[in-house]
Amino acid sequence: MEIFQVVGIALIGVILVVVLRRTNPEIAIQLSLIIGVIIFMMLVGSIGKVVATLQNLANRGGVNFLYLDTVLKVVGVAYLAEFGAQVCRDAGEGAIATKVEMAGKVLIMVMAVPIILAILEILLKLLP
Amino acid sequence: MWMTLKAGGFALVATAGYMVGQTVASSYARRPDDLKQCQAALGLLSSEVEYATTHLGVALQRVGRSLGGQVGDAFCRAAAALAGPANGTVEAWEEGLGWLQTTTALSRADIEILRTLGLRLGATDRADQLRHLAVAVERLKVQEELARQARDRNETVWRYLGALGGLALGLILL
Amino acid sequence: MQVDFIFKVAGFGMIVAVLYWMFKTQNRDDLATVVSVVGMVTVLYITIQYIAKFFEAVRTMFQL
Repeated sequence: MEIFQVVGIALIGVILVVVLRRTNPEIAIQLSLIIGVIIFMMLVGSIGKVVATLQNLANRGGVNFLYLDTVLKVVGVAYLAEFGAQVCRDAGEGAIATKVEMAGKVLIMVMAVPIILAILEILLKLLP
Repeated sequence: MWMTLKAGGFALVATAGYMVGQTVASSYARRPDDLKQCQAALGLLSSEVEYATTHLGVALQRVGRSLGGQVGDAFCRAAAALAGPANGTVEAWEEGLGWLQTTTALSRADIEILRTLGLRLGATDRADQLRHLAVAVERLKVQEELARQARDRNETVWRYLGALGGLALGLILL
Repeated sequence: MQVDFIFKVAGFGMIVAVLYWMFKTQNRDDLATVVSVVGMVTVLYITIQYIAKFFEAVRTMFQL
């Protein structure tokens, strides 16, 4: 089971980060960053499976490919923004974290524009 | 197999760093003692010159014997070179200095003090020689004080830096 | 062997911490600063490569 590995790595990493944080916080931050990346790398295979299943379902259901693509992109941007913001917040820079989150929201908004437009169009067609 | 190879390489790099640190640190640690030995040797030599009025080769030999250690060896070498085939005092003294430079932690400045002394040794009258010996001892004393300060500043630093630097380098290369 | 990276960075950090402390107690503050900066840059070098890999993985996965 992968969950054991993930939790094990997280526990060991947390202990090391706490040890380092007292003496040199700049390296502790980078260590916690690396731990996050490693855990994500372990999940890459599983996420790939989920994405493949979603695409399969979309194909079968005849959903417009544009929509699924956009959803995936939105998830990706949201994950990246969350990751970056979390690291900033860990380093005690709440202000920068907030800005990263805002950037993520704006970019997601921009990506979602085609879908919103499509919905609006459908609505307009429905209205007499 | 691969892991053993990596561990072995890591151990080698770490040990090399440790040894570099130890070497530099021990050269810092030995220099004041070596300087002290040189002062003792020059003191003995000046008493030889003052009271015994022996031939320089015999005096050097006697000082070297009674002192022992690397500095004493250097004096013995100089004496041997002086007794050897048709050498001048300066060349014989140079021979001893070469030995000092390779075996002790003396710096180039320290050797230079002894070299200027060698130009006078056995070449002028007794009072002049004694004066130069006293001057050389004085200058060596100053150098010793400086060396002591340098040791206090640098010895521990180099010991730690060598060992931990080796470890860090090994970790990076791992 | 991804876990290696954690131990590598943590070990490096501890070595830097010990050196920093040692220089501080020897009143060599200049060297202490140099050591901590060099350690930070070295760790950053390792981390940056890793983050590049991470971004690449995210990019291919979500077709960004």
